[in-house]
Amino acid sequence: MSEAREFKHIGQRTIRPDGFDKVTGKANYGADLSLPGMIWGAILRSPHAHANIKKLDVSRAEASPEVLAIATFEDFPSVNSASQIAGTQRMSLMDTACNILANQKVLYHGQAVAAIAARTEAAAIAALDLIDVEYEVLSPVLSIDAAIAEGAPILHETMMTQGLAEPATIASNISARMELKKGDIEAGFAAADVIVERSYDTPTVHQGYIEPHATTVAFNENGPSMIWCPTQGHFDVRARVAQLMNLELGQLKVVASEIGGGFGGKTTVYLEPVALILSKKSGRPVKMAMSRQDVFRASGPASASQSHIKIGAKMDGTITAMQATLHYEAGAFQGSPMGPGCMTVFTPYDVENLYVEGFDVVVNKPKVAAYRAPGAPQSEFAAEMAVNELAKKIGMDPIELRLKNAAKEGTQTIYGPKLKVVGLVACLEAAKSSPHYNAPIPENVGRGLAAGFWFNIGGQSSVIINLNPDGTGTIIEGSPDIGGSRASMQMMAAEILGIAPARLNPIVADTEHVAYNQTTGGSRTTFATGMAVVEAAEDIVGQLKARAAAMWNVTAEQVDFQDGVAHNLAGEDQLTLAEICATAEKTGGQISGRANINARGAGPSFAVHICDIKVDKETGKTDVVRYTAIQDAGKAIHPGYVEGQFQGGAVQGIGWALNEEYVYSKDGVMENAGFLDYRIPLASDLPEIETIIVEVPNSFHPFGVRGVGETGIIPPLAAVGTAVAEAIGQPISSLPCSPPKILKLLMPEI
Amino acid sequence: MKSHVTTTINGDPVEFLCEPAQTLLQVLRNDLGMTGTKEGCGSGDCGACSVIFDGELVCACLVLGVEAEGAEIETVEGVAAHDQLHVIQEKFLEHAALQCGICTPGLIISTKALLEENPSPTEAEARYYLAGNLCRCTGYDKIIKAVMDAAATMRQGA
Amino acid sequence: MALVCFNASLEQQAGCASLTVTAQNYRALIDELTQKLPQLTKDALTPLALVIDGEIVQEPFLADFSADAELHFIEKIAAG
Repeated sequence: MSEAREFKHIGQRTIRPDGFDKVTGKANYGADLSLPGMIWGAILRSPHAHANIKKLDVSRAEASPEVLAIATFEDFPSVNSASQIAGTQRMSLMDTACNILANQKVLYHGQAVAAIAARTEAAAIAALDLIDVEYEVLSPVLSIDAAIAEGAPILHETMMTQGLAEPATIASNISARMELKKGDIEAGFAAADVIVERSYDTPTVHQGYIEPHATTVAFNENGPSMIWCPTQGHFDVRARVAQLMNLELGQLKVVASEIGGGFGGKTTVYLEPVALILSKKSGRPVKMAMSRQDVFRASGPASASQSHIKIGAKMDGTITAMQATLHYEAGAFQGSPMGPGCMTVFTPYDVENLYVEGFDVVVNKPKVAAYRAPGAPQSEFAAEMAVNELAKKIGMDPIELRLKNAAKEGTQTIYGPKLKVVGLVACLEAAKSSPHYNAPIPENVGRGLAAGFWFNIGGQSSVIINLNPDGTGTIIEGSPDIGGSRASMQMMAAEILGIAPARLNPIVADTEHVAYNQTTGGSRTTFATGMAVVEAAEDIVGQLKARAAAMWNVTAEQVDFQDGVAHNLAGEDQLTLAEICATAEKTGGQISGRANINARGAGPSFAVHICDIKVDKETGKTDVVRYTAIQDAGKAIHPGYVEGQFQGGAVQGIGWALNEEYVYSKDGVMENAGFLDYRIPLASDLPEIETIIVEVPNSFHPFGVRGVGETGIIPPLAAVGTAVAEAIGQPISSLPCSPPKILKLLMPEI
Repeated sequence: MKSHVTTTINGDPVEFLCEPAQTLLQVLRNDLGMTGTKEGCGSGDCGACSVIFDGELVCACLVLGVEAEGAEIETVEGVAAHDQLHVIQEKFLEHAALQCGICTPGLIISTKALLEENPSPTEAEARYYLAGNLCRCTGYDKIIKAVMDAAATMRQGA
Repeated sequence: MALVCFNASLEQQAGCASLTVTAQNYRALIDELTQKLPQLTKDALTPLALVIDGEIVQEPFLADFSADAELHFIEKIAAG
């Protein structure tokens, strides 16, 4: 338990152990592996957003000597539509398979239809012309309104809305409805002096990881096939590929390469099963990589949303009722993060009367994937904007309004449980006393503030720590390192073992060399894998004590271990960890600690962000002039990487709020499928991102850690939205606040 | 028909064969096994493939392999001296200026080019010079701090 | 007796907002609920996480709880 302890290594800013390789270009990412005899795969993609495949003819390709293998949906062994893949929200195995290679129907522009392997990438791409596809083009459905309209084209003939009061009888583009409530919403509104009600919308956006999806796969008849890919969860890749290809888990070895960004978008599979099919059929290793265009058009962006919010409050700021209707675009197949969106929308507030209704809607766009606190940025954007509007309406400071209604220990959430100790109030207080909030608002600048909540998860992690005879060691873990987590593992183990972090080398092992680890995501890694590291290190301490006891001829209970040194409590002797390791061979052999845990007790992380924005009223251009991100980390193991998560999340949120959106033609083609026109923030767009780490420890973790990776993307949407609204003197209800939209608000007559 | 190209990369004489349509990026990564230079977009919008080409900062995806004939090219693999990191690389590590690290090679090269051209950039100058290097993980804050610290350290002759 | 509270969506299937149970572990809980509330199927419950006295247990198969625990079912949280 952590009560303001003094730590030797925890809290330091160590150099990450994998850093040398990353700054010298030695580290190997998804597209960096080549194997002898390797050939290249390329994918034929649908030119239509919605169409039936009348004919798929590969005979010309088969006849070509350039073509070494072909893959279509037919190459999946029988796909059981009832199977669920663990970790995916309501997406069936059949949906996953169809998303990887289309089956009789295409549901978004760019959907994979077939694949070819050839000796070079250029030859594979050229050979795609040898595949003949006949499409019966259907009308695309490109928005929530279009999808739920009377007479809308139906994407899936068997889709019946789940969760309706009366069971559905006709096919729909709404896959599911969810309802959550607390108290009595009618009574809540009746008790209100003031009501704020508004609809909001957010666009489809992409996680924007700089590394496109890529893989090198070597099918092996006589042993495990090898998949090399950048992924947040290589055990998940193994499970999905095994299910899709009817393989035993032992027939697959998945090696997680270094990963060039994921943010949730690399928690599923696109290329790997296809490359495996091509490798099996050609008998050669196959490399595939998505182009940037393909990444935008055919991986998994984040849901566009429509939210209707209604809030009722007394003039003194007591919020009496909060209500939301939330629609999420799932893309071509069901399974948007509508559920978490509904659960998180009002969670920063301790309010008696809540009602939330959510809808998951399919549209002819790529199937969405997770993006940092999936579902929450969309819904909490709307709620936070409405709360800020309420503050303005009753003339109350937005921090004071939130403090008055803040969720805290004991608050009953809308999704059921009461919150345990949480840090929202601490974050609000930190915001209130922050230099930024106390600085006068500059001329022509608008200021916005918003809160954010995400649950965080624990889950399964497995770690082995092996010590060498000289007291150095290896930490074998299995959490792909997306943001510097190896440094934290090193520090946590070093803290327990009482040795310098640099004596321990953390490695992220493949699925054969480490036991099961759940996906890196859900803000779980420092919490859960960290917990496993601590447990494995404590296992070692037990062994060190036993070895020392053996050497001193005492019992293990008579040995104390502090700061890397064993002390004989029944005498004067001491032995360092290194000294004990030096004689390990004599005292019982290898000293090795192990933990295989399913970590429980993940603590939620609350955040509050403050944003100052200047708007050029002639061009609509926005400039972020000042930004502060405040978030509860429980305990910051490596403050540099905690700050990094705050800053990275903030800037992704700023991009979501100011400039990023998928622009679609009326035929459902994404027209801005590249970094030039899908405009993510640049270094020149931004000021320093100030950070304040709040630490309200999570008692379930040995050092008090709360995951921080996700929450940080939530507050910026409304902090920015409110700042823009203040700057232009008009409400904002639609993201992004891009120049054309701002000009339209300022000059509607143009 | 492939062209035979003779060039210099990180001080080493290098020869390769390439198709007319192949980019320098493709040659580096696929034919020369130099995967330190990354592909993020293939269209010159992200800067992950930054290299220094006859003293100029360029995107290798926008240079053809055949254009390398007679040129002097610097890639991330040549920035450190043996096992001694360049100051820029040290500062990136010290400031935690990388999270996933995929943009880091491009940024190291771009920063090197910046500081060779302008050893005393202001923060704004650094931000605008590096605007062609996209990063999605860090929000650029620690990157700019690393760059300014590297500049200061290099000015002191370290 | 532990108390199981249903969210609005589950309440629709269950036919009630809450129920006391004698079960003291997850598997017994599922058996008891599906027996007492026939409209509530195993398939509806087993994909969900279980919240025990405010703690979210994503994988509750082996979970047990005290005789006065408060229990909620929620969707498993996806990782981003």
